[in-house]
Amino acid sequence: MEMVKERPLETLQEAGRRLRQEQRALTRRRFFKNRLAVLGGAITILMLLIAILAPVLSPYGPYDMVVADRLQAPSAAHPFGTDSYGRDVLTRVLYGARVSMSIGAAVAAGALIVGMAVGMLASYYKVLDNVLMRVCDGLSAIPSSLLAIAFMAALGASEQNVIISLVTVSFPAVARVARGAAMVVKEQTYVEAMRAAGAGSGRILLWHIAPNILSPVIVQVSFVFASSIITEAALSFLGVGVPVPDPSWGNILNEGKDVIYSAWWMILFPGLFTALAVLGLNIFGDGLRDFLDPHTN
Amino acid sequence: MEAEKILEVKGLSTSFRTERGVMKAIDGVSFHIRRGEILGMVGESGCGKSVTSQSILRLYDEKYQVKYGGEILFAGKDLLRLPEKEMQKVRGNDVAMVFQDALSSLNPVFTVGHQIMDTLRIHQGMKKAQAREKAVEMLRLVGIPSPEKRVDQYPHELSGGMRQRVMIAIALACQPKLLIADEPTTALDVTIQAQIMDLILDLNRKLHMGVMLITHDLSVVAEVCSRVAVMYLGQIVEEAGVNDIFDNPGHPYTRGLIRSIPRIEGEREKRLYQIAGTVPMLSQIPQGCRFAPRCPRATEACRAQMPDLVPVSGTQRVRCWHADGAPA
Amino acid sequence: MQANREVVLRAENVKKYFPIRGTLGRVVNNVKAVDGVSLSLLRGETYGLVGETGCGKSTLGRTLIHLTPATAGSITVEGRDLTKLTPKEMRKMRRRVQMVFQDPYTSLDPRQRIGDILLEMLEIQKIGGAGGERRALVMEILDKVGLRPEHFYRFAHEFSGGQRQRVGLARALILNPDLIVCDEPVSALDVSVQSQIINLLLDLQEERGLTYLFISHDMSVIRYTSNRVGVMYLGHLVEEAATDDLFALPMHPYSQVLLSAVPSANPHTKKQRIVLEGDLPSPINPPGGCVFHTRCPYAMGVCEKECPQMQAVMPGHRVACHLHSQQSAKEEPNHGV
Repeated sequence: MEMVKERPLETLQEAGRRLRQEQRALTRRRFFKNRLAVLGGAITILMLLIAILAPVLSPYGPYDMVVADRLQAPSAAHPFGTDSYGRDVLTRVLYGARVSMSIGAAVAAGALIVGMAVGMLASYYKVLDNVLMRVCDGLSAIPSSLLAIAFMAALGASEQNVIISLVTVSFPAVARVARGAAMVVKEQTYVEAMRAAGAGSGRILLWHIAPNILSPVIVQVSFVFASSIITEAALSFLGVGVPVPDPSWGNILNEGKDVIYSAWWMILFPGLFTALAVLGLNIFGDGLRDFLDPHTN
Repeated sequence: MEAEKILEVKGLSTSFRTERGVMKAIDGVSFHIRRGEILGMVGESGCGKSVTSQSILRLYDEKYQVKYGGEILFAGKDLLRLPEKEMQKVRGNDVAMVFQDALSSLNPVFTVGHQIMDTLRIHQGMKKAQAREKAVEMLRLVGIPSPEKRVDQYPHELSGGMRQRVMIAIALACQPKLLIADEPTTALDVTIQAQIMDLILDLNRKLHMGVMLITHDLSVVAEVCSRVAVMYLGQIVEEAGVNDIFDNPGHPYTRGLIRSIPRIEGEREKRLYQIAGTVPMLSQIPQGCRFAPRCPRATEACRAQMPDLVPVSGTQRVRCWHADGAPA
Repeated sequence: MQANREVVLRAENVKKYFPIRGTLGRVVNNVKAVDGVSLSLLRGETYGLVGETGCGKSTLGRTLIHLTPATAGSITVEGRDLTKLTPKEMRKMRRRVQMVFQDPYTSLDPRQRIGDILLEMLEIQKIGGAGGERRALVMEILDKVGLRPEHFYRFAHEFSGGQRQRVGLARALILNPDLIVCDEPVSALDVSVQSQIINLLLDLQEERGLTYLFISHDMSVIRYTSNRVGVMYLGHLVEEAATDDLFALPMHPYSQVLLSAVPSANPHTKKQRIVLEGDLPSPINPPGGCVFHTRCPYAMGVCEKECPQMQAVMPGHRVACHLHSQQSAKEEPNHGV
């Protein structure tokens, strides 16, 4: 009898799969209609590809110094020129993408997790709300780069510490968005229905509130990604970020500032890449918001 | 003697372009409204009753990609061929509209008096003092107590019923020839609903305007309307005087609707009558008669070809192949 | 006849106040949503709770099944007071008392498939083994409420309002409860769908011996669904009677007003309406004495001073009104049982 029951269910599962595929196709079409989001997404993917493929794309090693070739202007051998140690700037910028993008991504992921947790707990438990949100207020009252510099000064310069301090300064914004969205979702009848079923708070938070607030939070996180790239560059530029000689866009800029009048290429190319990455993420985030916001459709 | 027709809609169809292709929301809708009469437009959600009313005022023009067909004759002009500028003069002046949600239809940052005066100053070019006087008069007309005081209050200071009265006051300020009321009492409690319906009836008699009342509630229709049009899936399936609709419904859908409402008086059967099936989506309109898949009397002919809306007696028109004479 | 029927739920003097907090979280006032309601629900009956917006009927329904804790009073189910259960015991008790919600659009999680919503109910209450057994139970209940097996894989937004309400009903039924609180279950539905859902509710009741608390603002719907009716006004139960008695002979002035306002689906009857003066008073500062005296066409001196108690005027017919109270006895409210 079990067998008889199972068989129609299998074909049903197939029907379900087909249905899901159709829905996905429709969603895809809708997304690709949104030109900005597609452009931003393309730039971001390009940047990520560059970061991943840096060793393949680079003509030289990131630490290869050829003292004789110091501060050469862009040429066929060195399309982006060379720096004051004779290192290839193109290689440095490509490897810099690696450092900058991975820090950005790590900060985004960290801010997502911490921000979601803080925001949801604050929305759900009245007692925690005041404490957590006041901490967030405190953190966002100080300009984020200043705060990050202070953290770095206390923790010491390392890639890991850059991530920790950037997560600390950027999670409050995510938490606030998550809390706002969770406040709305937790008043929905389906959450009440779960309580009427006897579900505990953990289940409700993780399985019913979290998935339903993800959209606005992801949009916010894409902005965190972008701003962490800038802040990281700023920290490195000031010499408190990623320690030399590791390449990051901020580091290259920092080294370039001393020779700004003679070697414009050391400023231009890392600057351009930073701007492009940030721009890509920002328009992707904007596009994503329009796509996810039902009111704009 | 019959009063003049103030609105005549002929073969109106409205289509929207959507992601899933072009949707024809209403198809070949024809009816008229005479001076001083209340026409009830009934049907379930998705039947196109609101699309019909909004098409009359062309409220979709800016928000959607929309295509109209047919004619909407109002005061000798075809509204569908009027330029937008001319249309703006019609809206709120000759034809006024009252919506279901009075709270979101009123602007929260202006006093109710201000909002009535706005309409008067735009359409009638009144001076401020004169408009204010008229606003107070309108509030008194719609039965708001101490209108001199209320005129300076904000929408949130009023109860739901009062807000709907204000909406009606705004709608009637310019003495429109036609009032379109789209589910005006659906959001209100029964005791308030009764008051608002009495008000609309009373004003209709006093001001002698035409009223198009859009509602899903057949009981409301029975109480206030003189004529009724029943819509199903974008078409009018039956049109008749209110007594005919209830005493002698010609279309199986009308009959089903009337039988399925719980009644407040009279016999009470153990089970309510129910119409089989559900309303199909606009993208899946059935062949032939649109009601055939749910109809207890459907035959091959019904499934093959769509019937026209044909007169069966003096004022009754029915869209059904089996509508000749007495219902089964 | 009713006297020997088993009581499923007994509520005594239930109050639900929502505090209004001023600066520093001090309670400055209370919204008295439910203010001292006593009633009993008998096995297999439908108790209709009717009243206008803001009368507290929905809050009462939620309070009775402890979705929101009562401020005062006792609620007894199976001999146990819900207000005194530990959270863990209450979670178990949820199997016995379930709810169907008004808005079919917000009452289903948009990111869950219908099947998963129902499976989760069983998972929470640890009913049936994992996998096959629970799945079979879900399929059975889908069939019961008139949905097809393939709906298992659908999301709520793919359904019409009526189908969603069927899912809501399936969700309440799958735990096999004794009592279901139906909060305006058909108010958001079209007429033709409304009759389908009402019939489904009635069929399921007959088949499973369910008890319903049927909350509605619509007197006609109440008339078709309920065996007994309670009328609420501003947090108070003002009248309670068998359905036919209440519709034939409403005794409380407010019940009379309510009944006279309902439009009749018959164009030939022209009803004499009792027009109610003024607006509903605020539940923050309800009028002293009888809560209805500010709008009552028959208000007397005593109505301003004294709040009338529910008293039986006929067997099974209770009214809280000074017009019908016997001077002599101020009895304890009985529960119409």
